[in-house]
Amino acid sequence: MLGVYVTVPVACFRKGMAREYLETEPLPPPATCYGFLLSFVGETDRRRHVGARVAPVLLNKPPTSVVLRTVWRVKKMPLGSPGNTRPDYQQLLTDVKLVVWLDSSAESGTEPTLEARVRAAFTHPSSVNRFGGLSLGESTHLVDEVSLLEGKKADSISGQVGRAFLLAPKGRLSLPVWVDHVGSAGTRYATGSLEEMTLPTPPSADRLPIIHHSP
Amino acid sequence: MAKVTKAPAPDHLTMGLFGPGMSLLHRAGLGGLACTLRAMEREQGDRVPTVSGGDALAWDVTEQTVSLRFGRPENAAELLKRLFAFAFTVRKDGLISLPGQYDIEPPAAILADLQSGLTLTFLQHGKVRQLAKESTTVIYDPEGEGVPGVVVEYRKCSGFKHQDGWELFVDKKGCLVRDVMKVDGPISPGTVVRHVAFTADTAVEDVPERMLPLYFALVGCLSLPVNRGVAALLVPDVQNLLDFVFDRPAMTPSTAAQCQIANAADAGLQAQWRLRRNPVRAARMQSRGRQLVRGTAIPSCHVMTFTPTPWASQQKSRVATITVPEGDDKLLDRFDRALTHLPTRIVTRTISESTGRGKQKVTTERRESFRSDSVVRPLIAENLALGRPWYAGFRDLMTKINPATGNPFRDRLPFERGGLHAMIADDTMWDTAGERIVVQAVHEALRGRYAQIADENKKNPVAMRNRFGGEYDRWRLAFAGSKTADQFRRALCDLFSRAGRNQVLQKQWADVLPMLRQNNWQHARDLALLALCSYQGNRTETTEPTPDQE
Repeated sequence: MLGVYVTVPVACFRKGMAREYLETEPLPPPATCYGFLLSFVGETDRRRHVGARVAPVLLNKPPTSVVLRTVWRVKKMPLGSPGNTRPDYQQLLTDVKLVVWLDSSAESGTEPTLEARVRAAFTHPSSVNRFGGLSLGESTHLVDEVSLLEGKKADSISGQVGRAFLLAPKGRLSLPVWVDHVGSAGTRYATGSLEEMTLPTPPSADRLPIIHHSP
Repeated sequence: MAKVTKAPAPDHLTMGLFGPGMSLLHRAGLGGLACTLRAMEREQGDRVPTVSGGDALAWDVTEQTVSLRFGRPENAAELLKRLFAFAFTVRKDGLISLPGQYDIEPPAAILADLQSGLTLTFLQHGKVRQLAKESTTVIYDPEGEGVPGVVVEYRKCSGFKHQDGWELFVDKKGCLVRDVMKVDGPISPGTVVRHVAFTADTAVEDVPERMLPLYFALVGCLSLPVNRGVAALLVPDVQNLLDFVFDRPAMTPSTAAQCQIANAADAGLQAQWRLRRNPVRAARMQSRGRQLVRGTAIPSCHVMTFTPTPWASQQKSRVATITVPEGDDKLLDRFDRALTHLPTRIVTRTISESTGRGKQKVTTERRESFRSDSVVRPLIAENLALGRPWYAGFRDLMTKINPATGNPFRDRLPFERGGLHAMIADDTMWDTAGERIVVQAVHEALRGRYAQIADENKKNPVAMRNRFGGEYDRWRLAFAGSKTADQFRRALCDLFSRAGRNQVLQKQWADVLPMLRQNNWQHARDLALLALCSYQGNRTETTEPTPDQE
């Protein structure tokens, strides 16, 4: 299992049904973290590492604020037609600090696993062929810091208590592990709860949400 | 090629409270479905649906699941039709009735207020409800002898979208469908088609076991109007369906004052307050052998605010959400005091109406009651819900304009002076000694200043009164206009220095100092303004307004 320390200055992890007044989840869903890791290693096939287990752990309590922004609502073609944009409110989290736990033991794709690729990206950054700014969530929510949770970084957060999204039968949160970006019929969810855990000890692998998609 | 055999249609539908994809609204909806089924059992007696006409009920409700049993797959349509017909009814007087929301059907005036909330949230679009063009009125029972009841206007409803919702769930043979269904705003407020140019592809879709709870979110949630254009939709956090069937009826308001909410946080806390006081619920908790600790089992509430926006003035859009944490005794005790001292008041006024002209002119007078709400309680409710000191942001009440009336909030504060005074006199409202002492010290200083002015104008009561008003405005502007810690400290010390001997400061000055530090001065500013508004001297210093002035 691998821990990745991530900080994002400004982010919104939009709730799936909130298409008007863009509400945010308290932390990035597993699907968002998975997408971030794929982008980090330069993988463009989102099905390549299906079966990976991903769990975010929030290290702080990011303050929430609300901004008025422009959103796209395409009413007529072409895309640039007048009337295709409108204002709407969006909740933003500020100063998000988290650890993403990744376990590739149940991956169904071909080698190397996502875990191995993430580790390789840290040790040999020049081997990564990727494009665009690294973001968590929307493309404008750029990541500030990414580091492997080992050595000095692990020592620096040692003893901190974070809130992890872990699978739980009576969990009060249902977060997506696979997102249908067009409609929503293909979106898959995992039920879990936010549980306090002391870092840098990783959680049990079987409690990490597993990335899977619709058939 | 081998023939593909289609799986037989299901003979049951099971919905889990914590199933994948069950959001807060889904869970509230499943709770609403459980409440409706219990209401059916209670009201239909022998006629309650059973599995294939036998003895077994056609449903089963547990702590975490609701199962509908059809007997044979093709019976699904009949059961769902009966369920929807019972759950979503319209009375002869044109009022929507949702039996899952109450133990005993409330009076028509309350249903009219609840209907007003529904038509501003779930049923806001003209295509999803049929309303009469003309308004009808219904009157609450009088609050006392000689006091007329509050009049509520509503438009008679002849039908709404949810009533026919069962048709979506079944095919031509009457069997339950398995396909996903489109979710829209009337079913799940805030859920809209992302791109109207591609409606078929970009609408939100959900499977039947999550779609059915969404239909019953109308029952599980509570919609209440703030005014004609603003409403709050309260989504309770359901964690146990067997408890929620008792909780939901207890959350429904039962008086004219309870139907009046001031903002989203106020709606959430009032619902929790009603839950805590409900005797049926308390008895239920005891009978289940639970440790009855007041407040601890009260669910949290997620409350959405709906209002027209400049870019979509024809509809009420979601513009804010707030979560009221699950029952916390300290928080609810403080809100209880706010509700006691700053309640929604039923005010009566006399209206003169004349008919005819000249000698034929006849003037008649009639008395009318209306609800007048506090402007301070919504601020307190929001602060409590967000975990801030209850007086935080009091400065806004001294500087901002009430968008509902176009008048400054501060114009309303004299009506609430008595309530504010009662709140600050209550020791349980304070977390630290410094908070209370700042208020007391400002009161003492104001008393000194008013005494000086009275002494200087003994023979001229008009000048005395004018100077009292001027003194109030002076300190209001000085405190509310302080933008930095230094400015505020200067204004406060100026007041203390002009007021003469201040016994409160002499005894407890050490407790006041932490309130003036860099990280606390804004709270101290709010407290100073609170003290200014709550100061009750003799009648010449502060003039109490009369109800007619409202």
